[in-house]
Amino acid sequence: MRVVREPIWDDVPRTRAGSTFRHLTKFLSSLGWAARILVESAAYFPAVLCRRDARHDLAQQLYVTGIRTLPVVTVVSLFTGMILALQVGLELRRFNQEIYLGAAVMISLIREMGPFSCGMCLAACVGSAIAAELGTMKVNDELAALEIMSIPPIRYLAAPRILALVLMAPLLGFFCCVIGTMGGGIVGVTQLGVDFPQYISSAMSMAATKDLFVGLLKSLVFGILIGTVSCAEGFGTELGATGVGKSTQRSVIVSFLLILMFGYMITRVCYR
Amino acid sequence: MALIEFQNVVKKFNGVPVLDGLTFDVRAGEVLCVVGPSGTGKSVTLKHLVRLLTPTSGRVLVDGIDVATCSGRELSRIRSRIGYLFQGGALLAWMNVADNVALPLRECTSMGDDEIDRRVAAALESVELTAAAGKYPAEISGGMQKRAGLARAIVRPTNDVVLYDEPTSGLDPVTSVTINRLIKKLNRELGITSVVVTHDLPGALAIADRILLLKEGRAIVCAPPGDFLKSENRDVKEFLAAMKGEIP
Amino acid sequence: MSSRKKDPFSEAIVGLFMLAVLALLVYFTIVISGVDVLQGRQKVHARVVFDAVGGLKDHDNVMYRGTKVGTVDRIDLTPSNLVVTVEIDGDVVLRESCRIAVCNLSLLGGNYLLLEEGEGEVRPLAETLFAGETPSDWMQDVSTIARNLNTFTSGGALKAIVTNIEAASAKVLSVVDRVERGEGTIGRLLNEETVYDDLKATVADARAAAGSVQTVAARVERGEGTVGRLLSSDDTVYNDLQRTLANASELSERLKNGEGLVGRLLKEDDPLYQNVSDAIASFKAACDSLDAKATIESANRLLDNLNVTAERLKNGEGTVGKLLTDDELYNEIDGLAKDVRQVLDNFRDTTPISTFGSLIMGGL
Repeated sequence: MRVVREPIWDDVPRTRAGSTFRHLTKFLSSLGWAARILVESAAYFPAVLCRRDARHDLAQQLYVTGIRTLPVVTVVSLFTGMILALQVGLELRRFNQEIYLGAAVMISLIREMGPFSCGMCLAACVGSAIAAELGTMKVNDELAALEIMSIPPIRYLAAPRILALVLMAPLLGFFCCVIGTMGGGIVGVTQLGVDFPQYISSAMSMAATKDLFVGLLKSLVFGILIGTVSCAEGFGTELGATGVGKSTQRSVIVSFLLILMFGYMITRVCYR
Repeated sequence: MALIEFQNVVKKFNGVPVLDGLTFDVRAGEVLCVVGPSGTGKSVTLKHLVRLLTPTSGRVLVDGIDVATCSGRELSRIRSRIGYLFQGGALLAWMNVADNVALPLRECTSMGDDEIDRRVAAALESVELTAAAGKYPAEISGGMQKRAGLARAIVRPTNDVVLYDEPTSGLDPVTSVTINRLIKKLNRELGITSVVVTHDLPGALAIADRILLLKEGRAIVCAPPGDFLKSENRDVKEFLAAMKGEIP
Repeated sequence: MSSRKKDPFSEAIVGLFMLAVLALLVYFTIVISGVDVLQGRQKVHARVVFDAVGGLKDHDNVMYRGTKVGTVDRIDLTPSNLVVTVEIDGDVVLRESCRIAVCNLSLLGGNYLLLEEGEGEVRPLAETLFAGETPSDWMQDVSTIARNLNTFTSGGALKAIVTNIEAASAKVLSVVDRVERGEGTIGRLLNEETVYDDLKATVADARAAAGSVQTVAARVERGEGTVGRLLSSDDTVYNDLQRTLANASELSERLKNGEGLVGRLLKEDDPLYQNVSDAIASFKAACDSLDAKATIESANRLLDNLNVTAERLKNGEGTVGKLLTDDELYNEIDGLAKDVRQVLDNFRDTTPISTFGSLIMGGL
């Protein structure tokens, strides 16, 4: 698939119906474009894993995706857990049920908040960086140079990034749950008078394997979405530096929206 | 024999013709400089040769193969012969110069590391950039970036055509001369067929075997530098006068 | 020359991070799956048959002696019942009379399976098919109660009940008001402790006196004792008795003042009794001066007084029972009323000894 496409200059639609039709066409076109990038990237995953140089690229992307975002993810998940614990704990205390604080925080994190906060961090930190990087490469003719060198940009650029997100997002999602639970424990012990071993015991007793796997699935889907959206926006960048900014912004917004929508859908499917 | 042929190529963007029946050819081993005012379709012409753009009508042939309609495999084979030097060099920012030059060898050939290193060293030496091999694109000048891009364009053993898109734009005269000298050197020493899109008429006159003047998407004149300068064509005279800074 | 060869550090960090998180993930998965890896306790699968499990579900806890010993592994539906398979510690001991029940974790929901050891021989966990108690669905019970209440109160029945309750309340209020104002016997009983104490003491005395009177009357009927002999003799004795009646009336008035001597007299030993006999001899002589008709009228007045008193006590019975918690007084009054009634009957049957009875009741 060609990433460097010919520019399209469209007439400005004169009627509302024409404008709506144009938007619909563009939306469907973007959807198809992103889907093709995802499918083609997935087809290159074996090549990324098998080729030595590609593995180096993958390791680099894993480092960027996983390690570089670790501080942000840690802080976000820690405070997410602390806020959850405080909000839930205060309500539980009204009913003398603080012993369930660990369970409430753990279930919230493992089912929803862990993957969600991880997805938000990845979309903001990694997705935007991917979109900006690929967009800059696009306007600097680097993608064109790759195509001319018969190096498919999707294989060389998109596949390692999406694969890195696919591999790292579930791990980071789980990492968020762990850190968030610890944060909740800190609040529970220091502000709600909950015994920490009791908190952990409650958390572990109420966590179910299904919840964990659904949470991991969500993180995985979020990783795929963020990678695909960011690559599609980056590859689709036009009009120089302004275009790069717009692509970056769009990739974050679209990623956030998709995270929310897919999060709901997965919850709906898994917890009927 | 013509290695590259443009046969009545028309390219329209949103109905507006940028190339309007462009016809010319490039012989193997020659240096063809494409000159003309801005917006006459010079860069668009180059992009048709590697199917970054496809013609609205007409044919673009490379070694007898229609680039616009050939299969992916044939396109890859054509592209493997062609090196493309972009205006900014188009080096990947996260790689040093050596890795940038080695990129097509690593990704598109099965060469070992030693062979790649040897060929990269040779390419860098030919563009006089050996000292900057370990530097990143952001650490070197624009001229050096273009030379690094040039090294990448010629590093593959299959490269026998190089397309230069404004190789001297934005460079000081000394560096421009260096780039032009390199183009001629590569042409002479490696037999590389070169298509150079440039505004630098003195440079073009110095390195070109033939000069093609484009105006409004059409080929006005395609002639050796001496004949180009003596041409009685009104557009050529206007172009030459403009280059000399004269106001007609 | 290649920059790729210079960056093994980042790859090592990535590898370390992924390994650490993966290890944590695997451990977490194992722990929440209920597999006790670190402690290495032997787990046993036991099966329990239930008619219903009341919302028990997979992974719910199994409690034994107040501690978690395992989890519910799965619940299989069979044509006739449910078989719950639990994974529990091998150390758990269940005997022949063991009890296995589904319990509610809290009002907010959640269940756990409770194991109680029981008595008798130890049953092997893996081989035995234990029987579980069918859990009571208290929500359903409450629902049934509510439904029954709805049925009971529909069709105006509730209104009738309320009307009756209102009427009863009004009457009770009226009674309470009167009681508070100190009206009537109950009111005085409630408001004046002395009255209460006197009444209580009097009733006790009266019961004792009535019992004695019954005994005496029986003896008189049989012609036994002094009085019997007096009554069964000729007219001279009768006349003597009439003469002494005036003196007896005077004595009766003195007794009405609360001296209550008769009770004690009847309970006294022989010397006192002898004194009374002497007094009656004098009494007999006095009776000669009175006619029988006057004697009967005097007795009837006494009876009327007694009737009024008895009726008031009788009317006070129900109220006393409801308003006062003093069962002792109630029982005393109850007994008194019965005794009085019986005494009155005896008086009617034994008119000749009515004068003697009037002495006793006057003392009351």
